[in-house]
Amino acid sequence: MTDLMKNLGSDDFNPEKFVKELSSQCVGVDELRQQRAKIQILADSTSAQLKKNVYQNYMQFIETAKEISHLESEMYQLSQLLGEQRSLLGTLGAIGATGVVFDENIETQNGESHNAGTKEEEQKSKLIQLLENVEGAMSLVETPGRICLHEGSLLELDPLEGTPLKRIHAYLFNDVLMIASWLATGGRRGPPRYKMQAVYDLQSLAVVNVRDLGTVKLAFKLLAFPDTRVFQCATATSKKEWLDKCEQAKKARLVQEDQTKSVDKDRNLKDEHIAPSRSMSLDSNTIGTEDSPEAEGTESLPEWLLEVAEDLDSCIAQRHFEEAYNLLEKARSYLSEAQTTPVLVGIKAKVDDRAQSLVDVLTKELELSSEAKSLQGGGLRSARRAVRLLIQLDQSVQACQLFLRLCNAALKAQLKRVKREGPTIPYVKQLSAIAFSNVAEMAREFLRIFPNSANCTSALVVWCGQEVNHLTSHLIKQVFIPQVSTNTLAECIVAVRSHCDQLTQLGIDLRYQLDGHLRTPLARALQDAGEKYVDAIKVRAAEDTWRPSNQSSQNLQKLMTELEDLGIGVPLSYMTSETWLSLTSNTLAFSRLYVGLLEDCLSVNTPELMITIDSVLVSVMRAQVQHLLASLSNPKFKQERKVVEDNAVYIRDIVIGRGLELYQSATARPFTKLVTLKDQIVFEPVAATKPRPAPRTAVTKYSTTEYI
Amino acid sequence: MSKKPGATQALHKVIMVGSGGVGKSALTLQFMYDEFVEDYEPTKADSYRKTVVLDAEEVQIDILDTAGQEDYAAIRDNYFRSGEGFLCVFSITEDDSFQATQEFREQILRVKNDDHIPFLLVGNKSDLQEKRKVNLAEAQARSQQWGVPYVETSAKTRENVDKVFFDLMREIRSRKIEDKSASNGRGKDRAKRKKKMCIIL
Repeated sequence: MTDLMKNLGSDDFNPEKFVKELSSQCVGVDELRQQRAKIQILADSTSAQLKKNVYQNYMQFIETAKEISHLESEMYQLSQLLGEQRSLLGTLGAIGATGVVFDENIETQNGESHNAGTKEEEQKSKLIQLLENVEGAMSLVETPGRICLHEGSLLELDPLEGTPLKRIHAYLFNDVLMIASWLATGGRRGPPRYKMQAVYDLQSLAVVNVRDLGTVKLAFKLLAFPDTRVFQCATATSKKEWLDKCEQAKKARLVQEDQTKSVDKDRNLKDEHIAPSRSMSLDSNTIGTEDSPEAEGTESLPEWLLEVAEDLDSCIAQRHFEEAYNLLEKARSYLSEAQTTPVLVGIKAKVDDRAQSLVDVLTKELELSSEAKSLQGGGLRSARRAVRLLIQLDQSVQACQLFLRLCNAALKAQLKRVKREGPTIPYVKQLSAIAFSNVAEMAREFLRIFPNSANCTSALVVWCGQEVNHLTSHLIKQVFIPQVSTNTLAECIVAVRSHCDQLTQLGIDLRYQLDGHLRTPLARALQDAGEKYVDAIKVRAAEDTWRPSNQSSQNLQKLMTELEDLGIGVPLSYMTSETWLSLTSNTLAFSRLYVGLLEDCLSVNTPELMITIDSVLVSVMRAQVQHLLASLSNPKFKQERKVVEDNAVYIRDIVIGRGLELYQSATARPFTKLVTLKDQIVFEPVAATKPRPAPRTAVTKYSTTEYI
Repeated sequence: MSKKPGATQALHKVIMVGSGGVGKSALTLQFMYDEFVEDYEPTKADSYRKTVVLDAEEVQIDILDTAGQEDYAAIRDNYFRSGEGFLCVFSITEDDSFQATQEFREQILRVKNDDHIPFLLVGNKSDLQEKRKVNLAEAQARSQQWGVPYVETSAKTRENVDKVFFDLMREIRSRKIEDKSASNGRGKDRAKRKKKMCIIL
């Protein structure tokens, strides 16, 4: 198959040759069919692959398109901004320019000068008044410095035929000519209404005098491609006025333009004149020295150094931070080696300034990313660049702070995703798993970025500690609630501890801290549980009738295996028959509960908790032992004495024995208090009412055998 | 003079171009009113219309006498856009005006976007032979280079005045017939050619 693929895919594949070879090789129809099938399969797989590729490309295309549209909108915003700025500048320029022209006009005409600003206002209000009756012309008011030079009604003629078309009203401004058509006012009185029809820029409007011919008299023509319009005036003077005014307006505009141009030119000339000394004068200004800088020094400086500040600015603006840093270093090393001249001091000040701004930009970058709502996994990785640069810029402390803040935010975002749903255990397990694995990951990242800064490592440790504090206080609220069982508690705590131990791989052991936080609530929870157990035992003891339990053989078998699993298997001798067990249901229940409690207690065990655990375990057992002893000495249970004794022996030998065993293995020391308790279980003759046990001897063993 | 500017009458739009003071208005006035004005007053822009008999057919001629000193290029463009044929006038007594024709020609071709626009190169003031600065060969060479006729006129003596206007009107007319008969043939053709080029590009 692969051969075939290669063959077909090769550059010099020749279909005819291929078919020829195929037909010469293959004998009979079947083989040909096989070949065909092969090619078919190949075609299918190729088309599938093609589809996949297309799909992949499509996805990429969509991604790209999204990016592009993002960019587009950004560009659009930029262009909007630029447009605004341009119009602002244009306005400023126009105010300046027209202000000047106007002042001159006023001075020459009236010999008095006005404030340009109030003049502007006046012009505008005049314009507004004028254009009030022209529909759609208010936009013309917006252009500052626009004044109306002439207006009047005209008759528009057909440019070819010379026949009258309609009446119009024309307004000549200092920069444009506006044509408005009449609106029917319905014969009502009041000022006539117009509707703006066209606006022609005087710069491109050709006004042509039309020589009289036949019906076309007193007319002039407007050439404003593609329009050619002919207007007829009422009188010869009015026509002359129109033509003259148009000409004047055009001339005035030309003069104005020339002025602005020449001003620009002047300015340019001045700039050129100043330019050579500019950088030097700036430099000397920055350091405040007025003496003339050494010309030689400036000349001998490399060009890049003179432009370093600008280059740094542009690098920072373009977010080429690495480049900026390299440039900065280059400049600094040059400056440290070069002799100090006023110029160099100036440059140095600038460079330091840029360094500070670079730090600021990077800082802001990190701050922003820690504030960003959506912290994906890449948050830390993308921060690496900024952090690394900050470290290089000797800002490791700040970088470390910012990085940890970022970690904090990232962690919070991660944990926020874990929703409390359903049972406590999975929630706690998940939460602590995520928290600790993230902390570990972040710590690892931290150590990678800050490999050689001990001061930062301490910050990391403090941060980890804080995070663990934070987590545990949250967990305590979640876990230590009244209804929770010791079993759940134990499981949660064990899970959290095991997660916490991950950090020890990085040399951060926060177990003590975790346990310290958990100790108080845990101790209280254990004590509460113990009290609850004692109460329960007392209640059951009061109701105990010392009846051996009777169950179906199947259930009994199940019970036996269960107890066996708990490590408190019942010796066969207790089974009096297929269905009878000489242990009471009370004993069985207690045994199971006690072993459970024991295991839970031991699993959360810490040295500091030992006393609590001991007292809880002992008090629960004591309650049961007291019940046993009381029952033994109780004459009411004389009939059931054998059963009571059996139960007592079971508790003493098996349950307590198991307890001692577990305790020993978990804590590596004997459970002396329980041993004492065990020794209290001795059997007196019925009559004996001695509450206290005999001295510790081998009596128990003996007595057991005695009564069996 | 017939004053019936009907749809039946063809209208040919002629534009006078050239530097200031070469005699555009003088030529126009001579053609229009058979008069010669000695005093010079710069023209702003005048438009004339007249009904003439062109080869036994009554047509209207619309002459736009432009200002030689127009400051705004955009306004000049607007003049040119409105024309169908051009009389590019210079004074044979002034070399600068002859040199300026090059610029006018280029501007017209640019605005009309047509290399074959009806166009005549006119050397005016042929009555002032003794003050001649632009020799005939030079002017003819330029007109050949452009592929346009060269005519020397005198607005004063009316030499060749009617000729330049009528020659130009004939050219305009034949262009119009050409365009129409080929059902927008030539123009369309050109457009097509251009289109094709665009596609290739």
